[in-house]
Amino acid sequence: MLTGLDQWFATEILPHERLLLRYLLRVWRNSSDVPDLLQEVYVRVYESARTQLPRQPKPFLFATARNLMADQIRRRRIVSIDTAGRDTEYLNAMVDELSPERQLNAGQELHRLAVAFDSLSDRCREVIWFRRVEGLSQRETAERLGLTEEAIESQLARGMRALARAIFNADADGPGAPKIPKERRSHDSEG
Amino acid sequence: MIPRADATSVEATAAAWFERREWSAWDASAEREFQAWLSASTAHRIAFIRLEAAWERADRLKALGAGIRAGQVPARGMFAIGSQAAAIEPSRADTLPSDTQSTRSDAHRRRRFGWPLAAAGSLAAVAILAWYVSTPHWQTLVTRVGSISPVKLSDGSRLMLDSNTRLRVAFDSHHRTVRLDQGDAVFAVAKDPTRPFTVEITDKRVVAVGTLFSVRRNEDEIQVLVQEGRVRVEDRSDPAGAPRTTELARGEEAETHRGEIALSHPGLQEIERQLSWRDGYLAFEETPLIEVVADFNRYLAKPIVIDDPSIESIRIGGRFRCTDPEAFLALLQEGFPVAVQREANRISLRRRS
Repeated sequence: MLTGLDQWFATEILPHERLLLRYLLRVWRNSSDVPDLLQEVYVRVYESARTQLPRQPKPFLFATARNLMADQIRRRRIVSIDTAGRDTEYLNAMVDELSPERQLNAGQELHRLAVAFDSLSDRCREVIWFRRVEGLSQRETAERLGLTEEAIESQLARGMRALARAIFNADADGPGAPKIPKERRSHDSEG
Repeated sequence: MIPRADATSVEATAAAWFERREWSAWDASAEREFQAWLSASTAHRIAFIRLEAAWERADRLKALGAGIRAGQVPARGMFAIGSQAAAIEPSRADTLPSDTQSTRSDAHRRRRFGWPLAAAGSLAAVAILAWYVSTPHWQTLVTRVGSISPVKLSDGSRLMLDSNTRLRVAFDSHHRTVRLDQGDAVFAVAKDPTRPFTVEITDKRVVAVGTLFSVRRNEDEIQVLVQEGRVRVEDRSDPAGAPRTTELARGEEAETHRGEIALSHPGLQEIERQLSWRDGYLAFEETPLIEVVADFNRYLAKPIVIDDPSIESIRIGGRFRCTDPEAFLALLQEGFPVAVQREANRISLRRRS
C-alpha cells in the first residue's frame, strides 16, 4: 500500500514527531496552531523529498520547521514585532538544544502502547484488541461485539488516533529533557 | 493561517478511511473514492501514512497477548511491563505542554502502575527459574525415511509423524512441550486450557490450546499450517525483549525466512492438499517439478535428482502414493518431455531431446 517515499517518510521523519512538536510548542505563541503547523511542516518535507531525498532527514525536518515559522511570522500582521523578535531568537537556539534525541527502547515503546491502550474506553479496547491482536476482520469483530461495521469503524478510528499519538508524540523523555519555561506555558494557554 | 483543512479533521478523515477499507461492502468505486481523497492533498497522504505506520507498530500489542485466551480482552491495567518508564515519572507533569491533558492523565495512571510493574517482573523471573529447575523427562519419537506413523500421547493428543522425523515430548502438570528436531508432524491437540501445548524449534514456539495444525522443520526454517482453531507463533530470537508473537487462524500459514516470520492465507483446501501425506499420499496442483521432487525425496531412500534446470518449473498435478514414485515417474515420461534414468543410488531427470 505505501510507496517507497511513504516508507521513507514513516521511518526517517515520523519518529522525530515528538521532538518536533516540542520545538513548535516552544517557539509558537499560540499552541492551538501547532497541529496545523506540524501538518504544514510534514507537507513541505514530503513534497520536497519527492524531488530529492534530503541526505540528513532530521536536520532537514527542523530547518523546514524553522523556515515555516519564520515565513508565518513575516506574513502575519497579527504577530506583534516584539513576539516575533523573541520567537526568531528561539528559532535559532532551539534546534541544538533539543538534540541529542532520546531513542525509546523497545520496552518503553511497548509500555507506552500498553498505557495508551488502557486509556481507551472499554468498547474501543475491545475493538482494537480483536482487530489488531486477534486479527479478526471488521465483520467478525462486529458480529462478536454485536455492533454494526460503522460502529466498529468509528471506535477503531478513535483508538488508532490515540495509539498513533502514543507512538509518535507521547512525551517520554527522561529527567534531562528541556523544560518549557513557565511564562511560555501561561502564554500558550491564553491562545 | 494556512490554506489547508485543519490537521485534526484531516486526521479524523484518514482514520475513517483506514478502517472503511475493511468494510465487507468495500468495492471498486469506494476504492476510487479513497484514492481520489488520498491524492487530493499531500496532507491527506501524510495523515494516512502516519496512521498506517502507527498501526504497523501497534503490532507490538501482540506481545501483550501472550498467555491470553483467544476471544478474551485483557483486563485494564494488567500490562505491567517496562518499569524503567515509571521511574522517571515525578518530573513529568512539569514538562508537559498545557494542551496535553490526555497525556497528563496517562502520567497519573502510569505512576500508579509503578508497583505492579516491579512485582510482575520478579514473578516472571521465578517462573522461568522453576521451569529450568524441574527438568522435564523427554521421550523421543523417530520415524525412518519412507514411513509415516500415527502416535497417541498421554493427554489424548494425536500426532502424525511424517517420514524422517524426530521429535521429543515432555509433559508435566503445567506444560505440554514438544521439540521438533527434524521433519514434519501434524498435531491434533486435546483441549486442556491449563496446559498449553507448545512446539519448540530453536527460538520459535508454536503454542496451541486445542486445535489441529502441522509444523514442518527444514534446517532452522519452519512452516506452520492451521486446519482448526488458532495457534500462536512466538519468536524468541531477541533474548532481551518480549517475544514477538503472530496469531494464526484456521486456513492460515506461517513460514520463516531466515528466521523472520511471514504470514499468509492459503485457505483450508490448500492446507489439506499439503497435509495429504497423512494418508500416505502426496497431492499436487500446478506445483513446480522442483517442489514435487523435494516432497517425494522426503520418503525415498534413493532420491530423485533434477539434472537439467530447464525442466524445474514444469507444473505437475495429481495424487501419488508417497513411498512409491513409479506412477509419478511414468506420468512424467508419458506426459512431459522428461527422460527418467535409474542409477545405482539416485534417479536422474533430464529433458528428453
